[in-house]
Amino acid sequence: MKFFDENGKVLGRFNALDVGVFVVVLVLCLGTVLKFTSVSAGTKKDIGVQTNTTVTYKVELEQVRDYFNQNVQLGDILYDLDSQKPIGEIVDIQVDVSEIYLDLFNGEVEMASYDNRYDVTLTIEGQGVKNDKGYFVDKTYEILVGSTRNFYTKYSIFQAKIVDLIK
Amino acid sequence: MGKNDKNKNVTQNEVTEDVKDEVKEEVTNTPKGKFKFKFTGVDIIIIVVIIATAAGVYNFISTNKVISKTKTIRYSFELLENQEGFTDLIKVGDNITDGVRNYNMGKVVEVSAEPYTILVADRIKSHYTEVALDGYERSVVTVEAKVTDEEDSIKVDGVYTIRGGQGIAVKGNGYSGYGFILSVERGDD
Repeated sequence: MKFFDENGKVLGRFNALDVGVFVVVLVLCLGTVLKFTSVSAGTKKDIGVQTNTTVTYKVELEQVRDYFNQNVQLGDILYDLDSQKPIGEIVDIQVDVSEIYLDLFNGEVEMASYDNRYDVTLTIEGQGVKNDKGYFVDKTYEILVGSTRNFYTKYSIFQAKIVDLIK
Repeated sequence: MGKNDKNKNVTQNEVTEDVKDEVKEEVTNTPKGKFKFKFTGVDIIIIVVIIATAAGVYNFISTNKVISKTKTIRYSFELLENQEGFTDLIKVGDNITDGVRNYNMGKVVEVSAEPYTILVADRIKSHYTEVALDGYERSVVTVEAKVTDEEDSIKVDGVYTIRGGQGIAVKGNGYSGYGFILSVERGDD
């Protein structure tokens, strides 16, 4: 049997346009399923066994003023600015005076502290998954130590660096 | 118009109607006068896609449904690097608007002038010190506004989001400036 018959039908039964529409819909459905169910680009072979887990990580802000501490509290929910999705709850806040290396007039290099500038470390706890590719909060938000991201809470907006992932 | 012409027209009309009926019978494959609605595979796919899309949209809207309440709160911001005397232009009761999109930001309830400082490295004492710049000041303004209190945000008049640390450009009665939101009153969550 010819693929297209003399009437232009596919396999002698289906209208070519119908088949086109069906293929487009099928591709869209598959794309949607992959987008919203997979952890990231990759096959099941890539990600291996996936387990639900509590993902705990730390983000650090450098040289913020004391106003920041007024706007962030334990229990606040942290959001990713790009996706605007919640990525955990603040479970700990550590505040230290900011310090940085400074070369002095005597030729020595010392850690110099700042007036009214603080380094703040937030510990975040979120529900996520662990697999062979890494740790993900809310299935798609990958926790990468060393990456600088934009975050916000209900009362504060800031940029911070992920400095630790507690496994 | 003659009698023969009239008969000729009637005959032509009848013939035309007969041809239409025949064509209709061929196209719909149904007996004359009966209309039969027939689903094709594509019709079913389209209906399924429409239902799935509607369900998806409903699910998205319902899961993101935000229960917001309206309340009045105070928040403060700073305007930086202003020349000395600038703060005197800002009066209690002034309406402040966003300088970019003209959104209402609230009404001034408190204003003060503070030194405008920068950090300078002290290479003898090994310390970074805040030093006030002569001729400049920093204006700290407290504003009262009606806001909608949502799960993840506070918005003045339901449109202008306020968060501590957010950069702002503002304008009032004959003045404008830029700076940052310092703090937002939490109130009852």
